[in-house]
Amino acid sequence: MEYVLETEALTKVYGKARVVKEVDMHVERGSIYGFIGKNGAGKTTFMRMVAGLAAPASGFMTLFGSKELEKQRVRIGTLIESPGIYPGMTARENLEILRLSLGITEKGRVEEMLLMAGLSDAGKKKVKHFSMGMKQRLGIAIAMLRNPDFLILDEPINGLDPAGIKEIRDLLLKLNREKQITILISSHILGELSKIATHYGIIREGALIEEFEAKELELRCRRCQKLSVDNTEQAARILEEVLHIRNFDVPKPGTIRIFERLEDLAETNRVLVQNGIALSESYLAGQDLEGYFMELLGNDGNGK
Amino acid sequence: MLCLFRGESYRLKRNKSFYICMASMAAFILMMYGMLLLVDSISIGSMENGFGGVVVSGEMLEAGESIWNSVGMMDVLGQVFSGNGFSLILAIFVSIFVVREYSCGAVKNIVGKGYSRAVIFFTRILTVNLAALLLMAAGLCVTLLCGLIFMGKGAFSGIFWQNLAGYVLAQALLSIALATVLTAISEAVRNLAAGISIGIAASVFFGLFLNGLDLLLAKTGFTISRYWLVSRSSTCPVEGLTAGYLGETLAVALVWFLVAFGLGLWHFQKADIK
Amino acid sequence: MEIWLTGIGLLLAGAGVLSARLCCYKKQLHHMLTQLQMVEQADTNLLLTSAVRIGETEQVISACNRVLEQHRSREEKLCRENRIYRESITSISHDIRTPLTSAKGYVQMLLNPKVPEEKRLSYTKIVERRLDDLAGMLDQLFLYARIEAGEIALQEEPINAGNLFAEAISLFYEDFLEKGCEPKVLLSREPCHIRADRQAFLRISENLIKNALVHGTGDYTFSLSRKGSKAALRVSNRTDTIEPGDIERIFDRFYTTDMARSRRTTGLGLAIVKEFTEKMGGEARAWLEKDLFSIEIKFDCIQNREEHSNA
Repeated sequence: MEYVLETEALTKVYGKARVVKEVDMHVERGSIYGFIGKNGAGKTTFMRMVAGLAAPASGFMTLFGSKELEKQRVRIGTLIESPGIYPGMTARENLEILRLSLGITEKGRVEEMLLMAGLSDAGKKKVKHFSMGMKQRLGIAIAMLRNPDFLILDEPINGLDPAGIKEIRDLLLKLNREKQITILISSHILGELSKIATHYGIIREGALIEEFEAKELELRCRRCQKLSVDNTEQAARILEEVLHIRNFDVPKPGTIRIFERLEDLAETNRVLVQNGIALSESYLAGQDLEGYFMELLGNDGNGK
Repeated sequence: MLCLFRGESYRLKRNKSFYICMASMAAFILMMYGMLLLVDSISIGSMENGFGGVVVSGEMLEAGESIWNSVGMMDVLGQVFSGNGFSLILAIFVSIFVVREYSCGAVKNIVGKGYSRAVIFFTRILTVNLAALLLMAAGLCVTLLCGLIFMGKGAFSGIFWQNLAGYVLAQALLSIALATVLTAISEAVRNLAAGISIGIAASVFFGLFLNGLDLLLAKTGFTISRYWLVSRSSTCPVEGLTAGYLGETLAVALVWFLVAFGLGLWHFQKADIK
Repeated sequence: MEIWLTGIGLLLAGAGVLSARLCCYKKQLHHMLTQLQMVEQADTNLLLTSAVRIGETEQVISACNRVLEQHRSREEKLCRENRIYRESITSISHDIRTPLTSAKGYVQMLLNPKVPEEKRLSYTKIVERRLDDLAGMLDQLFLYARIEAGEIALQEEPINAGNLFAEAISLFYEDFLEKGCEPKVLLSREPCHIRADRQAFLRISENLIKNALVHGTGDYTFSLSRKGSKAALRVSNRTDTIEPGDIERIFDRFYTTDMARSRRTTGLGLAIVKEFTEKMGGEARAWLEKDLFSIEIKFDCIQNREEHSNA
């Protein structure tokens, strides 16, 4: 298992507040890692640390399996918060400054990037007159300028219209497939992320609470019979011994999800009650992604 | 590293504020010549005293001489490099140039992409110094050109060139050091308004403050203002520059340069980039 | 005295410039070395960058980058081809299995003594048809494999393109009638003679016509005409599966727009057409006008029916 990014207890402290708390993240090579969390959960701060813009208070990080971070960072392209662009210049000039600064000898690279981002027709328009979508696309062009192996994108589809979102999605998929570029992408728009992510990482108040593959997400969201019981262990035992149900899990104490025998909920209910379990809720559930994430991120309904 | 410098100079070339500052310099100098012209006209009597708000002293009126006999190009230069001229423009320009990188986020594109922070900071200093020297050169050209127009070729004597060489060298050293100080300040505050305010304060008010200190310390015979860049720049003699003075100037400039560079570098390496 | 001073000054300046240049070269080389080491050790997309602009070093870097890109695109191509190859093996086995399974099904039924006599004959005929389909598919596959391996030796001779084309059309005419759509056949009145391998040309014609038959939905047009010094053979039909984006890959082996693979093809028909055409010095072109799909093959015409070689 080759990891492009591995962090160990990465922590960031601003004043007294621990903004990023001991995050252990693992980004596999060739994956598209969806980084999900509420506003202010610490996503951007974390990404800044990975990109070398902020120094971690404690913890370790390896990039491409190496601890020589400065050396390996040339292989990363980033778009963090807003794109770093000079408003008074055109898109071409912005890219040209960067091309010269990075020592890229191929003069045609700027045009290539503009083409890739769909900005070839921007012409003499200064960036301050760009729409949000165009700015984001320019930001991606800037991130891609040096042919990176790892892209770190902080909410790249922020402010884009549906057509723009689709373009970016197609572009990212293409880059991932054809050039094997690993992508770490944070977003609020769960629906979009779920279309392209192969792995998910959920961050809540600075701590990475979950990390799993997309396939597993499907498993976790699948249809089940959801029960609220008073005595979880007892209920579990009854399910196994009396009903011979093995396929269930206990997401939290007091809740059981059964994945089989979904045709006969009433029977399951009856058996449990007969055996002395107080059943307060029993219903057929199947979550969509949004619901699942909302649950993970906290039930105050404020998470996006 | 030099490629980074190329990128920065490209940015400098495309920077509108750079050309505006240059134009301001030129305007400032022209204004000065304009004023001299007015004084001249008044003292030889072709214009009324008080015209344009310019009042000439009684003695000068009586002498009835052309002002061009007593005021030379070097004197004009002396005015330009006083605290309200070149250093002011430089302070404004440096703030804009340096802070822009942070306000629009472009600094994120360079940091952490293979260059060490020290190299990035050093290149920044180099570019700003280049800009400062270019501004100075522009000012010089305008001064010499106007001098040619108003004072005629006669003003360009051998001794003039000697004075000029010495003066320009001293001012160049001081400007480099000043640019570095301003860069370090702007880099630390990363805010345009704050940067410009502090810059102006440094070039105009700090000198006054030190002058005040001079008075306080007059008894000890120690003039502290000699060691501040802008004060030194304003009081630099336009003729008869001694090697000793130049040597002292070099030392002062070097110390300020190293201190500013060191502090600025330390801050840059330590600070997070927002 | 001043001359000496100026002389020494100039010398020092010259030395200074030279050593600065030397330093630049050294730095650039070191920079290139570190990067090349990184590229060598890691599987990366990175290209080389320059640290200092000195001499021709930047051109060297650009050249290195071009070589790197060539290498990488070759690898990418290889990966892609491997993937296509694996996918083709899967789809071929699927394609072969379909008629076989069907035939086997009918054979099972034939083994059942309860099946009435009248049905037996029709079942047997169906089995025969399935086996013919299978034979056809395998035939295409083996032919293509042999072409790829370079085992097909084409013997070019003067042939009458019009006659051969007509022959091929007649082979499939019945099938078109069965489908209920009679094709439009336009053969040039002037004889078109070309230098080609007889069998290969027949195969080209057959594959084109069969392709139209199997995938087209109507408006079949087969024409052979003279365009300047070339003979142009064109097959066009209406289609409901081809999109503008498919055109550039239409001649790729195993490429089929029939995603369900229900129409019993291997996707090799047009690939074989292209291979044969190009091996005989012709051109193959395909295009789409709204929903009318056309393929055109062009060969150079020869003047006389019998061409005597000047041996």
